[in-house]
Amino acid sequence: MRHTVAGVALLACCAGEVPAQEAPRSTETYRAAVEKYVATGDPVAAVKPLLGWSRDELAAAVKDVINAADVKRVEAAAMLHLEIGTAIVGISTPSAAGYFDLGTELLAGLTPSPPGAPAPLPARREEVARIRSTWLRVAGSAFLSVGDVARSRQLLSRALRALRSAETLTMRGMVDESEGAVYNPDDWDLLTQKARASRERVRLLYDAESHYREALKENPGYALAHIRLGRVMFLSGKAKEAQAYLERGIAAATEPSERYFGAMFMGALQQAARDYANARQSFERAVKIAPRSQNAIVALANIELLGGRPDRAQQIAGSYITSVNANESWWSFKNPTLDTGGMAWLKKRVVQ
Amino acid sequence: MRALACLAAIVIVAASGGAAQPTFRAGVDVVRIDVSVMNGIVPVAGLNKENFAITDNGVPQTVESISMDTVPLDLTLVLDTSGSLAGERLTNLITAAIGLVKTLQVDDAASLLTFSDPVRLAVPSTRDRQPVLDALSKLQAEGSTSLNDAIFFGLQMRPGEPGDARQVMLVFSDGRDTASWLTGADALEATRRAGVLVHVIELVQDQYIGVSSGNQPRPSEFLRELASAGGGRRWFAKSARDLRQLFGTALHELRARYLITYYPSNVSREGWHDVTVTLKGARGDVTARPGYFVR
Repeated sequence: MRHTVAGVALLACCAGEVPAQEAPRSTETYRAAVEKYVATGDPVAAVKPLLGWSRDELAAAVKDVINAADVKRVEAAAMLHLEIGTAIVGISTPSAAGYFDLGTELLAGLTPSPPGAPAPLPARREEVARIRSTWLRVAGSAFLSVGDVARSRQLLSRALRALRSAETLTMRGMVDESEGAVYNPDDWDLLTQKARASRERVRLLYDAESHYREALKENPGYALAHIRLGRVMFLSGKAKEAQAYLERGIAAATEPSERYFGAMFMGALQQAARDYANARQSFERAVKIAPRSQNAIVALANIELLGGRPDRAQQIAGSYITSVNANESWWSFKNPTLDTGGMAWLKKRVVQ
Repeated sequence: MRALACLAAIVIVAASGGAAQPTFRAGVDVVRIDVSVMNGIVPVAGLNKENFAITDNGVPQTVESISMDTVPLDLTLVLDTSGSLAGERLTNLITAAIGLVKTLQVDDAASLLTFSDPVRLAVPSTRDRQPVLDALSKLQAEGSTSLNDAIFFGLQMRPGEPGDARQVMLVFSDGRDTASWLTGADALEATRRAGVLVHVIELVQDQYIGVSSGNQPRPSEFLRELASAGGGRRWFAKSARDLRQLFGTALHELRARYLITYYPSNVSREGWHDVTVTLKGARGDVTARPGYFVR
């Protein structure tokens, strides 16, 4: 897992690994860390001087950076916090939340124009709104990737208030979809409990559908919204609609993660229709995009079993499970909600 | 084994483990049924083939042979290491699993599969206890629960052809699947086709008193169905302290099983075969897998 590798290094930095010579805990040290990140793009190297800092010390440095009103530095510092929080979210959600909290303070300090300066141009206002919204969406996607829907929903709501976009609306729908999947009437004994679970599931899937449809109003060509809408249709038992949306999404997909999702969800649809030959092709496409994805491997092996090729199922599953490396990047496809596109856009803005 | 594989190409019987394990002799399927007979928590010993009545798709069959506790185990431990296990629960799980591994016999083999978000083969099947004990002592709890995927991977690790060992899987989990790609139905279907004996130990909330209440759902229906499809049992651990005793109980039960063979007669070859096992002239609670699948 790409983010775990960075995360372990960062967490080691932030939680106990004592350096040979500790850097002074000053705003200058914090600023130097931000500058190093800007120069190298490497959050692990940049964060080392901040090792062992308390939250109060970090908060004081953040405040100083905001007060200095250097928008470039404020943006870079916010990005560094996003990198650290995202990297450690799979290891310690509260620690990640701490970094994100300080990051949102930096975002608030990212004013369109310094105090006393002339009113900013509309383009700058929009640029700042886009930065804030994208930052909040990436942070929300990080929480969603570890199943923390409450924190994710909160950040995504703020992202939508900053700027409404197809990407954020789609991510918001994914939160509903993820939460809806948790409710299972079969988990309960009493009829009232079963009814409540069923109601919640239907409501959340409906909310997800609404968000995806709103996303498509913002951007009718947004592939991920088509694909996720297809998934929700499938989960709601509407196979024909599901197929239509998935086909549209797959045709429009450009990003590997979009093509991966499209292939996986189409495969699930075909499997449900007992169309094992086409399901196999879909899952094979997914494996081709993400050769070490646990989900794609297990989906393909399962379809081989159902299609009457148990030997092939054993071969696929066996070769995967006997060669898994804990640091592999399969994670990003296991629960690929992390908004890597948004992260890349933000990083490109600040890293030289 | 090579000849067996050739025959398997003609009639591939997916149920090829210990619980209902067809093999072949001169083109005729041989079915092996792994049967537990318990009187409360005490295994019923001393039964012979005349004590068992077997039907295959409703047709009475003649028991060919019967044996007990002579076949070594090939045990796959499938352990939940998701975040909810962190702390004392994990410590007790490790202690219980180590206790179980240490009581395996010389000819028994064991493998260790762990799951949270990812499924990891911590130790492939081996008769050497030390790698398993080492891996158990290093377990950490974090992340979500890919239970269905873990079961599938565990079943696919089985050898494609029946060997000398009795293939068994012991699944431990404290809750529901939250992260698998496969559905529970997929995992159950794979279990039915694999023919591996599956026992389940589920850690449930102390408060559960037979009906779900408040925010506390009932124990997993899926895990009950899994044990049923795998011809095994499901035990509840109401506290982490119960684990050690239940792991011991599971192993004891695995040892006290009868391996019954018969040649199916007067039944069609392909498809699902419902198998029933009952006692004649003896008393006890019989557990066996519900059938086997022939392609």
